Amino acid sequence: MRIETLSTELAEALAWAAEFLPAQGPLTAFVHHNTLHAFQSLAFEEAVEQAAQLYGCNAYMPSQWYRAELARGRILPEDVVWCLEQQQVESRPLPPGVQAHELYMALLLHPVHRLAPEQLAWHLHETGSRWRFRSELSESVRACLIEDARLYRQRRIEQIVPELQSEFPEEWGQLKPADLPGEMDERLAAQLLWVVCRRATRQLRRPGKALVCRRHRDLLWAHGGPDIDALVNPQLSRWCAAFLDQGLSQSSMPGRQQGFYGAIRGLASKGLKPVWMSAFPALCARHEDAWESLRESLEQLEVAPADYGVYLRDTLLALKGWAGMFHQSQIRPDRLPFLEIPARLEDFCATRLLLERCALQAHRVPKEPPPTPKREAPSLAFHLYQVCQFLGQGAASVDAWSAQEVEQLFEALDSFSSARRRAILHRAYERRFKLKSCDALVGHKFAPAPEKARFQAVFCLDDREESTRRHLEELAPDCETFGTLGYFGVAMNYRAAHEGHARPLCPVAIRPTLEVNEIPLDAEAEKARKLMGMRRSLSNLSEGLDARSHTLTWGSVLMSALGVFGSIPGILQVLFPRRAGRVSRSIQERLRPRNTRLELSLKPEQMVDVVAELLTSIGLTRNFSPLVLILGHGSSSTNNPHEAAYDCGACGGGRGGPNARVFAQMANHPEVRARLPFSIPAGTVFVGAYHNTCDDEVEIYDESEVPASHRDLLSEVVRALGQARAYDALERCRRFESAPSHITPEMALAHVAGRAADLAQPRPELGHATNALAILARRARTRGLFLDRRAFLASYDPTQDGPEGKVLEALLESVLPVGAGINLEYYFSRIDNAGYGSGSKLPHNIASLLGVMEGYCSDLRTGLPWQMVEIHEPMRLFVVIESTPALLDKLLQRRPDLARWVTNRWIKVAALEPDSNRLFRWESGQWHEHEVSPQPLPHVEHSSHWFAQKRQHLDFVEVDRAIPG
Amino acid sequence: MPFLDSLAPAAVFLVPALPGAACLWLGGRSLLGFPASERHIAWCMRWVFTLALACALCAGISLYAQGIPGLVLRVGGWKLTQTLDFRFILQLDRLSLPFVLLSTSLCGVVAAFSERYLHRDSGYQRYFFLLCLFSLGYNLTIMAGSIEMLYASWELLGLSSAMLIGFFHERSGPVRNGIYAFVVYRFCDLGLILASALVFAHFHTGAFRAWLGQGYWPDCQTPLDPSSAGLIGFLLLLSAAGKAAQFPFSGWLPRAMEGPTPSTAVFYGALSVHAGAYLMLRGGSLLAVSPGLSMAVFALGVCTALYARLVGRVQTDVKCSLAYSSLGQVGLIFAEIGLGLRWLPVFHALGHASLRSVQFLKAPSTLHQIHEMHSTLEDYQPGGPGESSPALYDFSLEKGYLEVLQERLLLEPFHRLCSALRRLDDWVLRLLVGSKP
Repeated sequence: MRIETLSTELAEALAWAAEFLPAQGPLTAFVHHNTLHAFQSLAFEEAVEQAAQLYGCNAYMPSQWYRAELARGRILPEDVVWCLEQQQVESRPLPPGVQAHELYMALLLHPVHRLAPEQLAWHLHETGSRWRFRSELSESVRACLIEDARLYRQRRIEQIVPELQSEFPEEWGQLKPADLPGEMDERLAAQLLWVVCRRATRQLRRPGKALVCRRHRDLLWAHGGPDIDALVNPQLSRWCAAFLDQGLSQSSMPGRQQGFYGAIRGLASKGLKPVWMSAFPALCARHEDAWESLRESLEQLEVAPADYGVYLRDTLLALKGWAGMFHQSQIRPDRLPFLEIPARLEDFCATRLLLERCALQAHRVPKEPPPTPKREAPSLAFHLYQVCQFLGQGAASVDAWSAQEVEQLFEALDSFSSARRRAILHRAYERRFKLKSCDALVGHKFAPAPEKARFQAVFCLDDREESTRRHLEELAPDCETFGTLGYFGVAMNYRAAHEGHARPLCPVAIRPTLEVNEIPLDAEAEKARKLMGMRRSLSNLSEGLDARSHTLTWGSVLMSALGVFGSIPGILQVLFPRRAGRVSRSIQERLRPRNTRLELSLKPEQMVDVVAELLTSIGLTRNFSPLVLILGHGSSSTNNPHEAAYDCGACGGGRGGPNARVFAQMANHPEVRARLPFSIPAGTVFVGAYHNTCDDEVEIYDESEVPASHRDLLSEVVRALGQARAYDALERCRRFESAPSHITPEMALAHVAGRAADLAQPRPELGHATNALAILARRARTRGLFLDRRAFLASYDPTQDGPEGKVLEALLESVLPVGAGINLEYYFSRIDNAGYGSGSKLPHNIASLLGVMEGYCSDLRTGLPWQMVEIHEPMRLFVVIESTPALLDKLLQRRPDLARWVTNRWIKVAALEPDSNRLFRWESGQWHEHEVSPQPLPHVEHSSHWFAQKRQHLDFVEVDRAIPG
Repeated sequence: MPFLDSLAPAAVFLVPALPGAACLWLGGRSLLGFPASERHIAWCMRWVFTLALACALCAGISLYAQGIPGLVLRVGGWKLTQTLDFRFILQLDRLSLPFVLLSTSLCGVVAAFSERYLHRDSGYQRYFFLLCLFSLGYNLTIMAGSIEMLYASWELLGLSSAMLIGFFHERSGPVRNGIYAFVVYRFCDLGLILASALVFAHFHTGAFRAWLGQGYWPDCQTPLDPSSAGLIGFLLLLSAAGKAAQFPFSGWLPRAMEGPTPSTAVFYGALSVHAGAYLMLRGGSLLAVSPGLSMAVFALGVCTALYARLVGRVQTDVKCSLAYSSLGQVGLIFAEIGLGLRWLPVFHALGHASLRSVQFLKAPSTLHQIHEMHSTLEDYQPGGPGESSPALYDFSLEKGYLEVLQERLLLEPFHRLCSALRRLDDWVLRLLVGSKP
């Protein structure tokens, strides 16, 4: 009985601990998600602090980064002041003459060095900071400090000489009272201040930073012992990679079907073990069951049952990448690309603890962590010395403070910790962008599309499509564009004509219900079959050659015979990426059946729901133009393990072209049209298309099906789209340092095509690196506004929504998790790229066909690589919804799951009133009306005039050309 | 053709001199604190490797046109004593020419690759400095005409390799593994030093023509008697085995996968590991007179090939899997050399180096390729035929227990010896001082 309860307790503890592991699945199906999903129930600020503690990562960017942003005007001082006021720092007693606000502002705006004794000795002797005030002080403060020093000298003339002698023996060692210079200068004033600070802190002791010891390994390490993780991690990584391997190795781990623990037990008794692991076979043999072994290990390690959860969590986090992959394989086996493997987290944990016990055997682990080091006199004196300068408190004032008052000042300094300061600076950083966006949205005038639009185009709401839409509107001002989730409501399992397997194309949360097959037209069935056969044999050949190149006999024959010539295609690909890409693409095209149709397993009444739902949600229920283009998107790049991370998030890391095609086919279906709640005129044709966001190619589907009456219009649209994608490429190229700054749209297209085909390109595109905003509104609200590819743009027409906001609710339900997931993943990978992200791409090494390691035998790296987030401005998503605050309040009350994003501040929200230009920002639980800045938005003719030859993030601007009429 | 006659020596000299000059330029700028811009570095690299390749081609054509089997160029010397005369000799013959062509073109391809791959990396300049240093070392190794010259360039090669493994020096793993490789290299270099000492003791000069035989490769006959040829050959084999990661010095090869993808590709997949094979080919005339040595080279090669195949089968990451496949082929090349073949190993090495380096460069696209394959072929399942026995699997996964053996047989005894010596030291001190310290 007791054992059973213990087991459930242990299972619960492990399940709780598993929540803290990274939730990234295999790289082949990359889905953006909130890196700190385990902390989502907490308020944002609290969550990042706690997570930073737990994972040993940064909660915010470093202070000096924010100060640099302040210096270049990205943050204004007024933002910092405002954020400090909002923070409501508790009032504390402070020494006379010190104002709390002044103190905190000084700490926010200036770096105060907190140095360890060893650093301090160097700093004091080498930088001359003891006889010079800080360079950033203003003249008046400087004068004030000097005046104070003069006062001090008058008051304490007899004390000064011995003190100066002891503190500055080289300079004042032989000093006699008469030698003191008559005039007080900065040098002497600084020295006197230092002397006084030294005296004021001589008796003071402050607690230093406590060492956190959670595991036995930490205790041993803190006491100067060896790092046992350095022994355990490589061994365990090797085993994990072997166990989870999806087919990279040619020979798989024996006994995998028994689970990890069983397989390792099978290996443990064999072969030689390193000295530290000599006890491992015996330990393994004791228990057949992983749970038993786990419990025994915890008992042996003297972990109290109440602490099981925490201890297991910390143990798992020591190799969080692999542990996370175990967990993911266990809970989502369907996402494993090739093989289902009986991965169980308890197996992993039991094995890990056995290894740790082996490694700990040779050492005596102390029970208590070492005492917290204290901060002592010289460091404290230097801290005080710097702060006093910023406060304008010179030698006489400090001299007048009692010991208690000095202590009070230090209390205040310590309470205003680095984390707190950075939280304020970060808030200021986000606020500046938020205010600018609000100004732009309020200042921008309503620009509805013409009543009779020439054509309409529905894009994915992706931030990368913002620029394509804008350019299309600039080039064809009489068109109308919409944005929605890029799977267009079509949740399907899709199998392309040239592929042997179906794959899901819909958000990960949805299980696809629809099966769609692409099949060649009957007239070409024979040819297609031949092509498919050719494709298969080519694949077989290349697979065979590749596999054989690893063997000894075949390998040596291949190498000696083919050798140099065999490498020529690869070398050409490196040297001439664009041309090689074109050749290989044309071969691919040729091997693909050209004319195909879709086979849908769906009745018309079911299609009606899909079509009606989507068109209602974007507000396209009237004023249909003769041609409606549906554009899905995806991204293709070479030599890029993270390729799927650039694809359409709403398609679960797939390519949304087929979804657009299926949707168009459904909407063209006469029976569907007959049953729709609104009417689509017979003269309206839907056309599906696919936009590759990496090389900016656009492919139109089923062109031959378009009736002859619409051919001219279609070719006009294709022409406009062709130009728009060239301008899109141009706009993207401004971000690539390797693209020349003087460049035409055609050159830009060639450049991005080269990037996509380049084996050596770690940044084929920049993905969502510029995401910051999400706008759920009619396009008229943003049309003609240059948003710099920073906004997710979902079309939502509040005038067509009911008083309950049902359409909005459905929209928020699908958009918020996708948008916030993308945003927060970029956010955390940027804030701490080594901790939350996966570091630089350059040493990445694909392991087990599941993820990437760094170099040789490391943990599996999750999150985004540095090359993806390099230019990202880490900010929470700012969601602007065209709706009234009252309706939003009602909606959020109804949907606590959505409200949590807002109330916990993981996203920021504003409401843009539908029939006015008033905007309300949701701040600290209330709606505040936004006060518009008096400066009107600048105007440009074309957006290319605004971004030409600029590399940095740009301000909002009105683009006249995109506004119809 | 008199024009070609005068051109060839200049071209031979320029092949190592061009990367050397680039090295000086990049290193000098770093030292003086004027880092060069990426654009300049990329431009310079393009020219350096294109020109070096052109020079190598030019020299080759000139040799062919003149119908001579090789060219020896004395570029300087350093006379220490009457009997110790270091000669800086460059030599281009039928063995060094293909290797030089291979190394300059592969370095050029990798430079072109890296110029985009390392864009905006903080170590951009350092990387290209090391690449040029490597290219300099490699070209000199291949073209060295005397053993002292070979030794110097061999060291340069080892040093630049180790530094490239530790390229990401902000993390501890790469640095530790770089040092590991460096230690193995240094240990194996012992062979080359001892061989040089023996050669100098015998001939008072290190020139290959003196001790490997007059004439050009492969038609030279060593004047050494079989036993001394065997001894010197064994020492060379030690060095070659270290650089080529032959059994039992294979431990550094997987660790070398810490560097950026292109450097691992070209150095450990392609060029660096073949330097050992080159050395054995160069010493071919020693093998010809000493059957024992040939046997040893053959056995070592076969052992390594089998070992690499066993270990490579279970590797679960792309780069290590490629590294062991590469090692297997190098092992076979050694075996071919041991069998007395001369031209086959050259072709094998050239073909293998170029094909394998392309495979390395494409390593990050493995996921993509396998996915493509999976979607095209309905019954495709990546990976091999199945499981092996647990004992064999453990042997392979633990890389043949090389590291365990190294710990048990080398490190532990050494550690114990040191502890014993320390105790002895303490004891002696106590005796002298007369009290407990």
